[in-house]
Amino acid sequence: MVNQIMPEQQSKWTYVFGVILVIYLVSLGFSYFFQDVKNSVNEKIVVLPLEGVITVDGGGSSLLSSGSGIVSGDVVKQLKDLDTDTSVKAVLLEINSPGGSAVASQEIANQIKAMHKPVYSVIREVGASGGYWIASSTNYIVASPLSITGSIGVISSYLQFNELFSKYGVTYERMVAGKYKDMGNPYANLTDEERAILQKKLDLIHDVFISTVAENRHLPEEKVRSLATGEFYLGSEAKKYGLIDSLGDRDTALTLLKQKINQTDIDVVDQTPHESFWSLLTKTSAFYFGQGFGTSFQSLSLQSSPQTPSV
Amino acid sequence: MKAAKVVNRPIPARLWKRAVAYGIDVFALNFVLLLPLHQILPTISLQQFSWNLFAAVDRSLILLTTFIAILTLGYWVALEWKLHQSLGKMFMKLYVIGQPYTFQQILLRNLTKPFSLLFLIDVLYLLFKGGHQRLFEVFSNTQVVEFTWSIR
Repeated sequence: MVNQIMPEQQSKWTYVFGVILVIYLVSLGFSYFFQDVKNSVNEKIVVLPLEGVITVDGGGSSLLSSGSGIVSGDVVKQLKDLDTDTSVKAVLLEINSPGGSAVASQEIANQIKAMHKPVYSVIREVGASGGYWIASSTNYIVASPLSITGSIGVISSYLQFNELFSKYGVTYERMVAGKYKDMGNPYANLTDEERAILQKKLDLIHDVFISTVAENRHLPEEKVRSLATGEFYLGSEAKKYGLIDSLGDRDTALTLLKQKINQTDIDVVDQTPHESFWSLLTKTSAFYFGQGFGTSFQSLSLQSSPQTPSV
Repeated sequence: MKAAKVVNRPIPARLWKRAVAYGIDVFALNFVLLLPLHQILPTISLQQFSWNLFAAVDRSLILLTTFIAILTLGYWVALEWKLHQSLGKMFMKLYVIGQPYTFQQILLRNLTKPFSLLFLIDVLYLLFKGGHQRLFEVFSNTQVVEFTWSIR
């Protein structure tokens, strides 16, 4: 009877060892991926860092970095994902940005306002201009007393090269169809008429910026206009003028956010970009392809102006 | 005159042998299963545990206990189905028998092992009933036996 149910002693021990080894390896694998899995299933507050200049396309990307700074398309996608992820109960934007493209700032600000969960922001060293535009669209702003905020203004300055070029006998051959097509060209002086047109555009963007901040911060537009001289304000000043809600740091913001959602024990997860081997590989190929394509396209550029208004 | 024949025949396993075998299995399982997991266990927030099934508990706690339960069950099923023995039973020379002996039966007899409370009820049945089978051994028509030599 015993022999009927007993396999060979040696193969029996091999099998036992195999089962135990499999269990050990599975446990090891599970513990390795557990933190990621835990982050994906647990209710949490996500901290999204927004650092650098705000652009629409991450200009200045290199082989191993997708451009330093805040790329509006990427941030909007991240915010949409966080909004649809039911395990994310709230979002904290950790802003450290001097501003950037007006369009990119507005795209991010609009997405924040479309969110269905609380979004708070904490301004680290700088949250000025476009960075402040983004912060103002969140439900609550925390900044250090020494943070640089505000700077509600628009800039479109550029270097003028025509006098330098004329010293070396280099002249600008103007060939345009459309009177203002090369307006703002660094190789020719602006006419009074062109200057007035450009200033009008900047004023329009400034007006949008002011009215948006006034609406976001529930402040009278006149008050914001009086503050919107382009001057930056320290956190302590910004608090006095109503441009931010509280003085503090990241922990202050997280504590307030936890109180807001009534979950003091909730996990806090820092959202950092994951670069898989495959994405790095594809990005490398895409970079070289794009670089070659871009270089050949540059000579046929249809650029309207060498400088984009920045906030 | 017929010659006497020495045979080994199965008798129900003695309780102390079963207890020792179970202890060896639990020790081995804790060792291989929990050793790799010891780093992540402190990250689980047990403060969030609640007897209220509808309370918002740490979902990773559910994930972890489910994982441990599956592997615990897998350990006993994989060994008993193929070898009729677990590691502890090998040391104590105990065997699982059943009629018929199928995977489903082995799965059923071990179903309570990952759940302490259910397993306790399972064992209490054996103790109070005074028989040789746990409740789920009765359900699965299986039994743990040891072999004894006898002369026929």
